[in-house]
Amino acid sequence: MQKKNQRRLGLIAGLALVGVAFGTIPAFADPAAGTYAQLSGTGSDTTQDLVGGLATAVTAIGNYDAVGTETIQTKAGGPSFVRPNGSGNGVKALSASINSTGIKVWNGVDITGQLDFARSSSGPKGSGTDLTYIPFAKDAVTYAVNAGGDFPRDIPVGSSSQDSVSPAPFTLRNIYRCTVTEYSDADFTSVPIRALLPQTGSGTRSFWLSTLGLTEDNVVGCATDIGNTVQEHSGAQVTGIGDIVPFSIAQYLAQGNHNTLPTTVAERRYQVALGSIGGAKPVINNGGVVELNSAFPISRNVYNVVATSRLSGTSAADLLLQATFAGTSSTICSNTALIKQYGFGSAGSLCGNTTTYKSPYTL
Amino acid sequence: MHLSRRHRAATAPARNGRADRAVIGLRATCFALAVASAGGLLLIDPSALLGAHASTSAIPLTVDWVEDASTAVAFQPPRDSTGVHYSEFDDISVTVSQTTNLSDQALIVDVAGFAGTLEATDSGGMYWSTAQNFVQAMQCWGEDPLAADFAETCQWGGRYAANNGLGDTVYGDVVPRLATADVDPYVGSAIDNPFRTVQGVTVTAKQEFGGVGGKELTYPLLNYFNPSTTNEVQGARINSDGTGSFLFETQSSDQAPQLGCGSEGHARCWLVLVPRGTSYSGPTENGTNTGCSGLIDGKTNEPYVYGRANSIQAGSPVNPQCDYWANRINIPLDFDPTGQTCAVGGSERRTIGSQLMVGAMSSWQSSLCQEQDAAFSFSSNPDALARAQLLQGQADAGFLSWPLSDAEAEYESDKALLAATDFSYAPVAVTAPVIAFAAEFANGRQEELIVSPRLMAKLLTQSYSFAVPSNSSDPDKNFAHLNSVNRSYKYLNQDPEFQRLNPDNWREFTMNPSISLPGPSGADAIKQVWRWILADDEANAWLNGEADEAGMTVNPFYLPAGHPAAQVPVFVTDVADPDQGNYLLDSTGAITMRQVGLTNIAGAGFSLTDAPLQTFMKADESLVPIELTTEKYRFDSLQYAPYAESMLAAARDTFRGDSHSKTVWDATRINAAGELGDWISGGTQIPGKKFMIAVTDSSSSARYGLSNAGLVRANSDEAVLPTNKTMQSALGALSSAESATVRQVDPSLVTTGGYPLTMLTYLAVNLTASDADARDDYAAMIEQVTTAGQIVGTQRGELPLGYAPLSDELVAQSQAAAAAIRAFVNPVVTSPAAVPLPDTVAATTTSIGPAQDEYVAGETAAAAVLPVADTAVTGVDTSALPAAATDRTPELVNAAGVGKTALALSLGLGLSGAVFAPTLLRGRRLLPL
Repeated sequence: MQKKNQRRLGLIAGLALVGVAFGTIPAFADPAAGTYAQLSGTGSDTTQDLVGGLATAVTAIGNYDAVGTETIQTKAGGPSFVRPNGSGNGVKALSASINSTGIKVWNGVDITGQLDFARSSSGPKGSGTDLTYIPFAKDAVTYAVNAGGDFPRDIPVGSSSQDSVSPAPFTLRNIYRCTVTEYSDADFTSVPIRALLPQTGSGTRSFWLSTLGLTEDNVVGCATDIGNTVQEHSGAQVTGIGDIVPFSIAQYLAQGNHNTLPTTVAERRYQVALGSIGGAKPVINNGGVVELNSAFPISRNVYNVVATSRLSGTSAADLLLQATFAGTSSTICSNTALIKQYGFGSAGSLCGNTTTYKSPYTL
Repeated sequence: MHLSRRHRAATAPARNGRADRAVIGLRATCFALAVASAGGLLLIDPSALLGAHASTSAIPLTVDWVEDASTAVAFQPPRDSTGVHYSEFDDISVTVSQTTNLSDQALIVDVAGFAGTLEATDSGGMYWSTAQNFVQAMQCWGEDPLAADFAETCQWGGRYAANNGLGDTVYGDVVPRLATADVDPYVGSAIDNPFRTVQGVTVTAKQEFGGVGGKELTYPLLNYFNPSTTNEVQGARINSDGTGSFLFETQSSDQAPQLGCGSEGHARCWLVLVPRGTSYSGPTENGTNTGCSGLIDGKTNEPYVYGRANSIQAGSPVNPQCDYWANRINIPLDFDPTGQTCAVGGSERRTIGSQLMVGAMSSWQSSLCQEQDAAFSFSSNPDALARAQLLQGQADAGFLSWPLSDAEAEYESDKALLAATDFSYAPVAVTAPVIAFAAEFANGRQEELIVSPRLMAKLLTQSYSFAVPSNSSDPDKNFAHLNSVNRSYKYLNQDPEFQRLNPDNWREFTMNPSISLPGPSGADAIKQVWRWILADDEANAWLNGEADEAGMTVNPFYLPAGHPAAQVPVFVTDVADPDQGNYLLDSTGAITMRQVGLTNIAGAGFSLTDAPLQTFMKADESLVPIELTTEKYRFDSLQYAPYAESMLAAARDTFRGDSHSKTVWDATRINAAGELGDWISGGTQIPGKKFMIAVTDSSSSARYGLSNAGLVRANSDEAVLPTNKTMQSALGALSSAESATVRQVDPSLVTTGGYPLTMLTYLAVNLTASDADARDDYAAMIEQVTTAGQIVGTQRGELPLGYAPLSDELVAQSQAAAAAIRAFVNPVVTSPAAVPLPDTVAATTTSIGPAQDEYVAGETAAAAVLPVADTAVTGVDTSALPAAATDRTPELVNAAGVGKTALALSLGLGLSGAVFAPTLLRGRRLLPL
C-alpha cells in the first residue's frame, strides 16, 4: 500500500509539473464551470487563495472560494448547494457531506459525498475524533486600521489579569471588551474606537477572540460585525479612523503579491495598515522580499480538515486524499515555495500531521 | 414515638433560648458597629460574613498534600520528594466544607499554598486560559482509594463531546480518560482505561464505530454521564496569591446511580483532587509519547517529553500513561442513605405552596414519615395558586407567606367561600429570598457583593445595556432607547453606584452578569423583594422616572404608560425595505417614537411603585438583530434571558453558569417550525469567566454554595447578609398590618442587623375542607417540624442551612395552632344555616358571615372562650355546632405578645388544647390598629 501510494504521488507530482510548465491552469477562483476535481473543498477565507494556488500544482484539488456565486456544484451530476463561507461553515458542510447519520443536510440539501475536505484557519473545537485537522502552513494575525488615521500602530495583546486595572491599559483585549473606547490622535483629540469582527463562523473571528481570551458573550454590545457584513481579510468596512479589525498577515501579503501569483487573488485591502503587536512587526524585509515575520507573537496553524475514517481507508479516493494531505511528503506539504509566495510560513515537520488535531462533527 | 417527640420538643426551647441571647448579642454588636461607622460606611456583621456559607454543623476537613495530619492521612498516596512536581505541590492544602451527611448538593473546596493559574498558547496557535497551575476534581466510588484500579471508579471523561462547555480553558486531551490517539477507533490501539460502574459494568473509554457505514463514532461513556450531568471539574483556577476556591457538586445515587453513593452498603465515596502544575507529567516509563498526550513542542515540532518545564498541562488526570494521578488528594465523602425512606402503604398527606420550603421539606419529609403515621408530599407552586387551591379544597395544607384574603379572591363566589371557610396558620420556617451570585474572574472568585434597593431595581428593570437583548450585529442601536448615561456603562462596575457600594472590590467584577430570575409565575418571596425595593426612597423615586445622581434612568419600558419618558425609537424592520435596520424617520427627518410603558388589565398605566408585584417582568420589547442579514428572525428579552423554572433551578443554573440564553445564530440548525436556521445557546460560562446573579432562596443558595449579596436596608447605609442571626433579628419587624394572625416581616421596619428580605412561612390548613384524620396528621406534622425540625443541622429531619430557627414565641404560636387544628370540629354538615344556634354561642354573635366580621375585643372575647371549651372538653359531639361557634372566638394569640402568655396560661390552668384551638383559626381578620 505504501508503495502504491508513493507511485501515485509521483504521478500526481508529474502531472502538476506539466500543468505549471505549460501555464494552462485557468486563473479562476473556483474550478471552471463544468469541470470537477477529485478532491473538493470549501471553507476558510484565509486559505482560499493559498489552497487555490496549491491546486494549480496539485490538480486533484478542486478549491471553492468562501464568497462568490451563491451556490456551487462540486461533483459531476451532483446537487447545487449554498456556498459555505468561512472555516466553521466549511467544517459543517464537510460534516454534512460525510453524513454519518444518514440524515444530515446542508442548508436543506443532501450533499452526501460532495465534499472531501474543508479549509480551516482555526484549530479543532470540542472533543471527538471524527474529523482530523491536518496542519499545512502557518499564518500570523494582527490588526488592521485605517491608514489615514492616527490609530496607534503598536498595541500589546493584554491579558485577563489586567481586567481589573483602572484606568484600563490600552490593549487589544481591552479594546475588544470595550473598556478602552477611544484613543487620542496627534492633536490630542479623542477618537472613538469601533472594534470590528469578521462575519460569524469565520476562523479569524474565533481565533482572534480566543487569542484575546474572550468569548462571543464578552463582546456582545461592544465589538460588531455590522450585521455580519465584515468579510474576513477585506478592508472594505475599515472606513473610519477609529476602526480596527483583525487581519491575516498572510492574506495581506498575498493580496499585495496578487500580480505575480498563479491564481487570481482579489486585492481587497482598501486603505488598511497593519499594526505591530508588543513591538513585533507583522512583516519583515528579507533580502528585498517582504515576508511574514515568523517570530510574530500571534500565529496559528492553518488546516485542511478531512474525515478521520478516510485516513485509514483503502479505496482509490481515500488513497488520493491521503497522498494529498497526510504526512510531510504529501503533495501539499511538498510545495513550500508556493506556500511562501502566498504569504504563509512553513509548518515544518508538523505539516501533514494526522494524529494531533481532532474534533467531533459539527452539524 | 410520642415520647421521643415530646422529649425533643422539650429540648428545643432551650436551644432557642440560646439563639435568642445570641441575637441580642448580635444586635448589640451591630449597633456598636453602626455607631462606629459614622455616615456612609457600610456595615457588615463580621461573624455573618464568616458564616455566609459555612454550615453550623458541617465540619470542614483540611488535608495537606504532603505530611498530612488529618483524619484522611491514611488515604493519601505516598509523595516522592524527588518527583518533578514535589516542589510545586508541597505547600498545597485543601479544605472541603463538608464531608458527612452529604446529598445532592455543592461543596466548597478551598485550595491554599499553590501558584496562580497561567494562560498559554500552544505551538498550533491555540490559546488556553487554564494551561498551568490548576486543580481538577472528580467523584469516585471505589472502596480503596489507593488501589491500583481506583481510577476506574472515577467519574471522568463525560465532557468528551462537541459542546462540552469548556471553551478554550484546558487543553483538549485533558478531557477524556485516554490520549486522543487511544480514544480514536481508527488508530485501533489496544490501550483502554475503562470506567467501572458500582453495579459492575465496565465501560470503555474509547470511541466506537456507529452510524451509517460506521462513520458516526459513538462514545459509550456518555450513556452513563455527559456534559449536562457529570460533576467533574476540569480546571479550577487558582488566584495569583496561590489560593483558590471552587464548588463541587456531590452526586448521590439518586443523581448518579453509576456511582451509587449513599445506596445501601455504600455510604462512602471519594472526592479526588488532582493538582496540575507546570511540568509535563507524561509519558510514564511504560507509556509512549502519544500515550499521554500528543501535544507538540513548538521548538522541536516533536511531542512533549517527561518533566518538560513550563508546559501546558496536557493529558488526562486518570490516564495511567501520564503520572498526574500519583499527585491526587483523596477526600472521603460520607453520604446520607438514599432511596425509599418512607414505608409504602401509609396515608399520604399533600402539601403545596411556597418555594421557600423546598429545602426544609426535603429534610423533614423522610423523618416525618418515620415519626408520624403518614407520609407528607410536597409540590411547590406559586403562593397565589396555592391559596386558590387551598380555598377550593384541592389541597388541605399549603405553605404561604401571606394569608388568603378578600383582595386576592377574584370572584364573588370565592369571597363567599372564603368567608365560609376556616383556616389555621402555623408559622413553620424563617428564611428569606436572597440575591445570590457566582463570580469568578481572572483573579479568582469574588465572594462579596453589596446591593442596594436601587441597584436591584436597575437590574430588575433591564436598565443596563447588558440586560437589553443585543448581539454583535450592531453596537449602538440595540440600546438606543436607554438614556446616554445608561448606555455609557458597558459594564455593571462602571456605574458609580456599584463602585460606591463595593469600594474594595468593584474593579474585580470585570464581566457583566447574567441574571437568573424565577418566573414567569409569581411567589410571595418575589413580592418581598419588591417590598424591600419600594421601601427605599431612592429606589422609589428612581422607578418613578427620576435620574440617579449620575443621570441613569429606568428603562422606558418599565415606566407607566403615559409617562412622558415612556417612549422608544422605531426601526425599519421589513427585510425587503432597503432601510431595514435604520431608524424609521418621519417626514421631517426626525426619528419616529413609539409610546410604551406598563399597563394594567384595564389598559391604564401603572407604576412599579403602586404596589409590590409578585412576579419579575421582562417588559423590554426590543427585538434584535435590528438589521436581519443572514438571520431569519429576531429574538426578544425572554430568549435573551429566560426565566428559571424555580428558585432552586435559578440557584443550580447560577452554580453551573448556564443562563440558557440563545443568542448565537446557527444557519444550519433546523428550528422548531422545521425551517432552516435557529438561535442557539452560546454555551455555559467557563471557569475564570463566570458572573451570574440569581434571585433564589437562602436554602437553595446554600445548597449550591453560592455567595449571597449583602443587601442595604431601605433608607440606610447598612448592608446585611442573610444569616440565621440577621434573619432572626429581622423578626423584630414582624408586622400585623396586613393580618393579625399571619404576621409578616415588613422590610421597611427592619432595623440594624436585620436581613430585610426575611420571611416567615406558615403552613395553612383548610380546616373546613379537611377531614379529622388529615387534621390530626397536619397537627402532628406542625408539632414535629416546629420542635425537632428547628434544630439546625445537616441530618435528615433537621433544619437545613439557609433557615433560622423559629423564636420561642413563634414555636408557641405553632404549637397552639397545632392544638387548634387537632381540636377543630367541622361544623358544616350539610347546610349550616339549617342548624339552630345554641344559646351560649348565639349570645356572643352579632352578625352572620363568620370570620369576616369585626374583631370582637375584650370581655366579649373572654366570654366566648369558655362555652366552646366546655363543649369540646365534655366530649359532646360537636359536629352539629354551627360554624359561628368555632368562629366567634377572639384571637388572643394573634395579638402580638399576648399569645405566649395566653398559651402559658392555658397550660397552667390545665385546660385542653381545645380551649385555644379556635383562637388560631382566624387568619383573615384584620386587627384594627
